[in-house]
Amino acid sequence: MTRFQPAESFHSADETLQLLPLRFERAGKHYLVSNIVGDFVRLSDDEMTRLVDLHVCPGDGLYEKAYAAHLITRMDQKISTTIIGDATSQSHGLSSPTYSAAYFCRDAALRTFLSLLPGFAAKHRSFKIRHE
Amino acid sequence: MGGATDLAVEFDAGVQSLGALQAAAYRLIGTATCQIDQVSDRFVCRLTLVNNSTKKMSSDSETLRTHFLNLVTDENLRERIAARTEGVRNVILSLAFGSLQIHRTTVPDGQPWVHDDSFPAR
Repeated sequence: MTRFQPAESFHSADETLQLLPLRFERAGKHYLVSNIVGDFVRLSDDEMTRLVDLHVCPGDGLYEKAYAAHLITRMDQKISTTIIGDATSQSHGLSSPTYSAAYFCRDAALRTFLSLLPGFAAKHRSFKIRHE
Repeated sequence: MGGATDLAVEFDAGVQSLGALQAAAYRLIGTATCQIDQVSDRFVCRLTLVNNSTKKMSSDSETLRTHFLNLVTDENLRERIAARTEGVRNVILSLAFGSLQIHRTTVPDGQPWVHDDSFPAR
């Protein structure tokens, strides 16, 4: 039977990560961290420290969360900046189909968190309908 | 000032930016006032708790000092992140509003629309 290669085979050992522009606010014992567009994720103290120091790696959970929220990217990738650039255009009234595609691929936890915010839920529902 | 909750917090001007102190002082509005003075090579922040503050804050000066130091630390981190991400932020803003990839075109019915090279044209 053919098996998948181990996870390390899909990422170079010396993969260089880059922090993307972000904003944060303390919320009790957690941080609300948003990318340049305004999408939020909630991180613990420890996660925030690891994120800023880029002490994350594929498979540790935080890497996936930060990557999906466009808080980090790999040096050799341009798609994150393209997506966020599109989203920034969208927030200023310009068309941005790429961000729509990215939004559909977001992790369920982030969508659940956003759905708890009435303003975000309304905004993204209309956003989704407009691009379907 | 002379209030019971007055306290002074000093920072070395060589390692602490004035911008972070000003931002932290702004975030104290409603809780306390903060007057920032420079005395030789030190920034001196004089904090006074607002008596009729609507925000929940202990009148203990040590609590106020801790809160202010946390705010300054957060502002320092924001400055550090902004410096580290300045380049990519400029790229993103250029992609959003500049001419790196976005081409404006006009479809036959005269409605202007925008597309970029990274996504299939509709």
